[in-house]
Amino acid sequence: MKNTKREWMPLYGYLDRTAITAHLSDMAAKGWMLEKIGGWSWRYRRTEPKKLRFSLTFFPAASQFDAVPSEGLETYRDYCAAAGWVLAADSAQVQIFYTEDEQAVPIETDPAAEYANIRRCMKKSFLGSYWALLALSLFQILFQFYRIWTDPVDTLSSTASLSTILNWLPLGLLIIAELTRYYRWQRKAKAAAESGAPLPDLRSVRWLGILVMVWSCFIVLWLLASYWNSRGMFLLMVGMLLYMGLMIFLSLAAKDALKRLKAPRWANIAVTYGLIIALTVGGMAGMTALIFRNSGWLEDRPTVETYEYRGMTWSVYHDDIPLRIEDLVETDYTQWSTQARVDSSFLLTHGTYTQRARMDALDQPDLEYELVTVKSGFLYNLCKKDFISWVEWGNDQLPQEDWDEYRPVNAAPWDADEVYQRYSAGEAINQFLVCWPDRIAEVQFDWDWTITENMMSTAAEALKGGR
Amino acid sequence: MAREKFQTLTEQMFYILLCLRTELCGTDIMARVTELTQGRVSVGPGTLYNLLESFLSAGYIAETKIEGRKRSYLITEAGQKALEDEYRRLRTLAADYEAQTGGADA
Repeated sequence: MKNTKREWMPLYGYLDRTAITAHLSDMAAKGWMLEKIGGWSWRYRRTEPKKLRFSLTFFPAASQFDAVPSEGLETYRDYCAAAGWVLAADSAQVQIFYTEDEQAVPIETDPAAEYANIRRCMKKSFLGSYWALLALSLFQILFQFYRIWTDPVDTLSSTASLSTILNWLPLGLLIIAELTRYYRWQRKAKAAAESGAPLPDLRSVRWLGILVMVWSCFIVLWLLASYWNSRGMFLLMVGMLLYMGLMIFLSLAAKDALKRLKAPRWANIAVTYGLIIALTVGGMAGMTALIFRNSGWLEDRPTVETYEYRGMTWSVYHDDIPLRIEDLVETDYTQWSTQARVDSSFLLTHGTYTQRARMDALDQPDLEYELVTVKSGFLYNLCKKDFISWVEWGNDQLPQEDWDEYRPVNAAPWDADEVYQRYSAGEAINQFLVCWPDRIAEVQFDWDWTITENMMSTAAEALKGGR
Repeated sequence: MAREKFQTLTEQMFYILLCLRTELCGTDIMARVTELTQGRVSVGPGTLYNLLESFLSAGYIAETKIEGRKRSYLITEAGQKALEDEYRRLRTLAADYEAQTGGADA
């Protein structure tokens, strides 16, 4: 028969004191006495079933980094002991006591002093971290919306970018909701304290806690699933998640080890936060190095072959691309390298395709194009504007006669709704922006080709119905 | 501002200061208040600790003796003045009451 028992994820807010103390009394009546509390679990030990009263109080000067209780906390506990209250468990500022004496004077008897004490405690712990997290989430949300506005095609087709929004947006809303609930409680508690009435509880919203956990798991699984076909990215994501887990584990282990070694609070804080910063910087540096020194493992597809040219190694790819140079012009050259990079989300699919000759055949033509499939119609104009903006972005620094711009041209050969051709300093160049109902293509033909209507319709046929 | 903070004293503040006109240690204060009020007012240990800390930082009481974790306190001049102010305030309330009711129900 087990003599200890754990409750995982208790999901109580510490200001929901009536619910917590009632739960602990129930557990004690069943023969389970609380002996440790933490964010992830509460631990109980088996005892004789007893009718006990519990009280949850706050001691603002306590810290999770204290190796031993401060003198002030010891004095506080002495006073409680003198009044018949025994410490059951504590976690940083939270102190939980119990008593068998039904007549014992409550630990807090002055609502005004109690309110001031809780406010001081919340200012030191919960409020600071929540406001910081809210600032961070607002920054992330605004940054992602800024990216959507300035670079919608790349951002909206990237699962990683969308998952960032889907992570931070609910988190930001959750923090706002929690802060609002707290300040409303504070207003009610202040009124109660001023009138000498008992302070109200701030009821735990347990379903919200469960929702946050389910949502977080969903985001992680979705992110992993979306990179399932890209071995390198999938491994990178798994590696990052494991590294984050390792970081949390190591920082908690360091904090506990320093507490066991009786290190002073300042030393524990310095070492633990130093370790977190070092691991974060180290992890980011390591990831950057891995990406820059990428020897192919991060690629979606393998390099078919490599060749040497003027002392450098060049890669050759044989990716499947919807439109090839051979479809447009006759050529005897066969040693093409074709690359396709496709990013896809539930909103957009964005493909970038190139066909190039080897470096020793630079007289051969190049072909480069991008395809965007818009899955949600309301994003169509935003994506179209993105392509036009990229061409026009430097115009404000140039006299009008030197502008780069897209000008409308005949759409019939492309069987499209609208077609634009790029003009640079008033001269037409071989770059077209083609708009079909749910697809946009930007095609850069080789610079010295003469683009015929036949080439346009061949390209249209391949790109309109291609990937 | 300490003076503003304790502009009016709660019942428990009042009795703690009142008890500390003689030197007492923390745990003795709880018993003394109960005794003084014949059980009508009780000061909880958490409240006692927080109020003693507040009074110390406001200069209303001073530590007189430290024996291990046991500390004894005594009211200061500022504390005495706060106590007297509160007493006067309560007397004014009582006087107003009596003036209105003739003290019949008191």
